[in-house]
Amino acid sequence: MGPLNERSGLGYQCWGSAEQGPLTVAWILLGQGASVLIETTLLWRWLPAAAVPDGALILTVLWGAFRGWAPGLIAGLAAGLMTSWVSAAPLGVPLVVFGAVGACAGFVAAHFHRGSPWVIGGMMVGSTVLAFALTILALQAAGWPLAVNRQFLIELGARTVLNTILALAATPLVSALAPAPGVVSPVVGARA
Amino acid sequence: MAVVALAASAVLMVFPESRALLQGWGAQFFGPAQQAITRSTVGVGEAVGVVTRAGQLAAQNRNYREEIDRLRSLDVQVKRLETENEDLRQLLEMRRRSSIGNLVSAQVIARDPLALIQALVIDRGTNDGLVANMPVITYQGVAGRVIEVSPTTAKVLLVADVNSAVSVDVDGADSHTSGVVRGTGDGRLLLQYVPREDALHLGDPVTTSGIGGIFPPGLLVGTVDQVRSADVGVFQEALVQPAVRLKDMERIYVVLTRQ
Repeated sequence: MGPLNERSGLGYQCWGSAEQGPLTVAWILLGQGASVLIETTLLWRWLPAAAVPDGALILTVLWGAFRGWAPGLIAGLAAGLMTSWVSAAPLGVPLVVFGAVGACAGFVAAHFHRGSPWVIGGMMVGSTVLAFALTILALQAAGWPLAVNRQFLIELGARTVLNTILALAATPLVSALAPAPGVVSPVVGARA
Repeated sequence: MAVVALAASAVLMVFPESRALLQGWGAQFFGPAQQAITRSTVGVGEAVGVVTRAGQLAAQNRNYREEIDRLRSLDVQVKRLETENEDLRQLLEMRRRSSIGNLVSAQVIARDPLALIQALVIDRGTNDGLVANMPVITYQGVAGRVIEVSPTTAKVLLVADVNSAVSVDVDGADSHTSGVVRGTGDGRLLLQYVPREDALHLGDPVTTSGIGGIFPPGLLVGTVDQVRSADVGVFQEALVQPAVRLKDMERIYVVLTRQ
């Protein structure tokens, strides 16, 4: 990661560094992997589908919100890749969905106070709905027939609430471990 | 003083009555004292014994706990084996009824994380002879089909997924018809393309017809749950309750068909 950071401001921004706090993208990827594994192997046995939170999505949105669109995109693509390993959906579907959500989180958060609970809560609601909508579109584009029924809508509502609560609960921790993104811009600017 | 004492002793030797009297007094004094000392000594001895055996008792207690844990674990294993045994017995019965080939037992290890897709991952792959489009069953009936295989795992599309379609026969008490069963996405199945003039009754068994080449004929898919017959149109539809409890599946069987 070191040489990349030295060469490119974007790399510096994406991968993180000691100046930006102990939380680096490696920890985010580790968290996403653990989250995908736990959700698909354990939680579905114990909980109804609607009560299983999407940890990989939450981490993607938080990372995008705190770091910007490029880190959000990278975290999203990684989450999409991990999801596709355990999903029957075509490979591109989770990649497109998570990547787009991570980048959007970064773009949107750039216009607001990133650490604000209202912003994080609103973004998580929007991101969960966006992820479901993009999944439908991407699956249809890949030739998968879909059934959007009452159960699907209930699941969407329940997961949105659950994801938002968990994102809000995790925000202080992420904020403490990965300080405000304002630190990043001057460095990027200085390189440019 | 010594002389007096010696004289007294001599008197006691000469007069036995006075000796017995003195011994009686002594016994009356010493008896209760002896009893008290003996009793208290026994109590102290027991207490000392308990203290010295405490370590031994703790070890014994630990052994008992370990034994209980072991027996509980054994109980769980016995129940699991009983369930598996019942599964296999029912499968054997199913194999007698329909012409299914060799089976590979597999454990469900993960569920698809995307809400719109009804699929799961099993712990068998190409190393075990699995290839895409092999049917997946339980002793209750059809569960789905293999859609993607890696050397050690495989992805199974459940029969309840919207992308799943199975050609079926419906055999009532006095009727016979055929159609196609698709997933509805909410855990139930939709029976389609049944000619309107054919009779469908609640509870009619829906079995695979063998057309399509993926599922062998005669496997139970479900039972007719609700008939939807319109006044117009060539076909009628019915909702079908899956025979397999798809949510609770842990052990399934892949039919090794020739591809």
